[in-house]
Amino acid sequence: MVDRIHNSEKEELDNSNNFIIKTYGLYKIYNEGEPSMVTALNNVSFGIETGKMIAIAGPSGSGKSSLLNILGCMDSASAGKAILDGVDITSLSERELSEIRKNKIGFIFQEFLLIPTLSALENVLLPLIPDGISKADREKAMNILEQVGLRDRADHKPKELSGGEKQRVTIARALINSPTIIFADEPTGNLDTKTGDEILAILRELNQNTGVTVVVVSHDPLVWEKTDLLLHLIDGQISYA
Amino acid sequence: MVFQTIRFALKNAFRKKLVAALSITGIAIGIALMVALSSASAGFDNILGETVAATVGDVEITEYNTMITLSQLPTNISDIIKTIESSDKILAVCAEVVVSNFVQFADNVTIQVGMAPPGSGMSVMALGARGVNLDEDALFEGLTTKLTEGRIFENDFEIIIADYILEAGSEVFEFGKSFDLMINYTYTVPIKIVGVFDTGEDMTRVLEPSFIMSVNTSLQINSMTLPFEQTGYNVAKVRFDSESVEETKSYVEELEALEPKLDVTSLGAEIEGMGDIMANFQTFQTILTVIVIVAGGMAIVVAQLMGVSERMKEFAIMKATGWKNSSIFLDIILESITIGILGALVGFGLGAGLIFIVQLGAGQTFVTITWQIVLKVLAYGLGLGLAGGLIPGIRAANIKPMEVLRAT
Repeated sequence: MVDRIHNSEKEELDNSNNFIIKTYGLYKIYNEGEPSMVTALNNVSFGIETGKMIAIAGPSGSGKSSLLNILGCMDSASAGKAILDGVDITSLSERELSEIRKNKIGFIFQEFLLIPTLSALENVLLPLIPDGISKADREKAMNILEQVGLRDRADHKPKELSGGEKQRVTIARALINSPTIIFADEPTGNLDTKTGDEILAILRELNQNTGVTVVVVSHDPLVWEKTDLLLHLIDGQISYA
Repeated sequence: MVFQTIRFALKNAFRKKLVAALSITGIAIGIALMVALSSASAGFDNILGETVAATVGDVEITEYNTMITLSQLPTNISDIIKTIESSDKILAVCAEVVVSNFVQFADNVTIQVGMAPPGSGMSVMALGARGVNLDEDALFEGLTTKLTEGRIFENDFEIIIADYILEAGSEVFEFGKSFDLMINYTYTVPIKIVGVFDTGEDMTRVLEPSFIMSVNTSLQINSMTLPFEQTGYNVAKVRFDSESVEETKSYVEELEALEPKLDVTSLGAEIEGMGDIMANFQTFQTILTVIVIVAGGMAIVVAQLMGVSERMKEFAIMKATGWKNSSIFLDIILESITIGILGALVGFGLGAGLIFIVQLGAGQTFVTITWQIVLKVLAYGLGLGLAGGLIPGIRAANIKPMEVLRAT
C-alpha cells in the first residue's frame, strides 16, 4: 500500500526545505460567480519532497488535472499559493511561467503529441528550437534517446514508431531541458500493460538515477503501486480514504 | 537561433500540401498579373521617357490652322525661323514636303507591304513619303544619313525606301526596281528605288516615313495630285538646344509670334501628355495590387487558420515545453511568409514567362522587368505573409495549452 500525502499545515510546509512543491490553501474555481461555477480545487495544501515519484489519483472531475495545470505553470490558481522549486508560481507572468516550463518542467501526456513532420530526434529537440540547437544539444538528445532505448530510431518519423516508442520519445523530449520535475498525465493510458510497465520503469529509473521528481496522474492502481506516494483527490480536496 | 525556427516553419508550411499549393497558386496568379502590368508600365514609361528625352528640343511647324497635307510654308521658312530672339539655341532646321498620296497612287500596291491596299486611308498615314533637303536632313542625322544599301537619290523620281518595307516582302517595292506611280488613274510616273535606309528595330519605326525623295520630286508629285501647284514646304522641323520640355515651350511661344502665323508643336510636350494615359494605367495597377493583396492575404489567412485549428494540440505541447507566445507567433508568421514569398516568386516566374511569350510574339522588347519590380514582388510576398499570418499567429500564440489538451 502506497503512503498517502496528507493536507499539510502551514508551519509544516514552511519548516521544510526539502519540498520541491508546496501549495498553501490552493483554490481553483471555474466560472466564478456564475450559476455554472465549479470549485475544482478547494483549499489544497501539501508538499512533495524533492526526488520522489508520486501519483495523483482521483475520479473524473476530482481536480487532478486542475492541480497538474497549476503546478505545471500552465494555469493560474484562483486563490492560495503554489511554490515550485522555491519560486511562487502563482505570482508570475505568462512569460515567466513559460521560462519555468522551459527550464524546470518536463511534460508527458497520454496522447503523445509528437510533431508528425519531425523525426524522433527533432521532436526531442522541440523545446530548444526557439533558442537554437547546438551540436551539444544534439548529442544530449541522442544520449537521452539511448537512455530510453531509441537511439537507432532517432531518424524515424512518429508514424513509423509504435505507441510505446512514441511515449519514449515524449519522455526524451521532457528530459531535454534537464528538468527538476516531470509531470506525466496518464502516461500509460494509451498503452498496453506491458508497454505501460516499461514506460513506468523508465520513469522510475530516471527518478532514481537522476533524482528528478516525477508526478504521475493516473487512474490506474497498478501505476500508484509503483510510486512512492499517492495524492488522492476527491471533489477538489485531498482524501485519505 | 532563428535558423532553427525558420527550418521548423519551412517543414510545417507544407504539411497540407494541397492547401499550400492552392494558396501559392492564388497568390501567384495575382502577382503574375501584377508583374505583367508593372513590366508593361515600366516598359512604356521607359519608351516615353526615352522618346521625350530624344525629342525634348524638337518642334514641328506647319501653316497656321491648316492640315499638314495642305500646309504651305514659305520657301524661306528656315530663314524666318532663325529670326526669333533665341535663334542662338537653334541647332538645326529642316523643311520637308509631305507627299500625302504617294502610296495610294502607287500601282499594284498589295497588302504584302504589311499595310492596307491602295485607296485605303491607312496607307497615307502608315506609308508616309517625304521630300527633304539632304544637307538639312543631315543636321538632324535624319534617315538620309542611314543608308544600308544603294545610294542617295540624285535625279528626279528616284527614291530611297525604309528597310521595313523590304522586310515585309512586297513584290512592288524592291531595291533597284522601278514601279509606276499612278496619278489620277490616267497618268503614271516611273519611280526608281535607289537605296534603302535603316529605321532601327523599335516598334515605332513604322511611324518613320517609308519613302524619301528630293524636295523637287516631292513637289512635282504633289502638284500632280493636289488641286493646286505646290511650291512651299508642308512642314519644318526645328531642333533647339533645350534641357526640358518647359524650356522648349518658351521657344514655341517665340515661333508662334512670328509672321506668317504658324502652328508650332513641341514633340516632347505631346509625348509627355501621353503620361496621362500612363497615370490611368497606374491607377488600374494600384487597384489590381490591392485586390492581389486582399485575395492573397485571405488565401494565407484561410490556409493558416485551417492549419492552426488542426494543430492546436501541437501548439499546446509547444507551449507546455516552454515555447513563448512570441516564438509560436513567429513560427506561424514564418510559415505564412514562406507561402507568401513562394507565391510571389512563382507569380513572378509566371508573369515574366508571360511577358517573354508576348515579346516573342511581338518580336519587340516593349516591357521591362526592373529591379524595382523584383523588389516589389518580394515585398508583396513578405507583406502577404505578414498580413496573412497575423490573425492565425495571434490565435495560435494565445491558446491555453491545458484547455486544448483537456478537450481531447
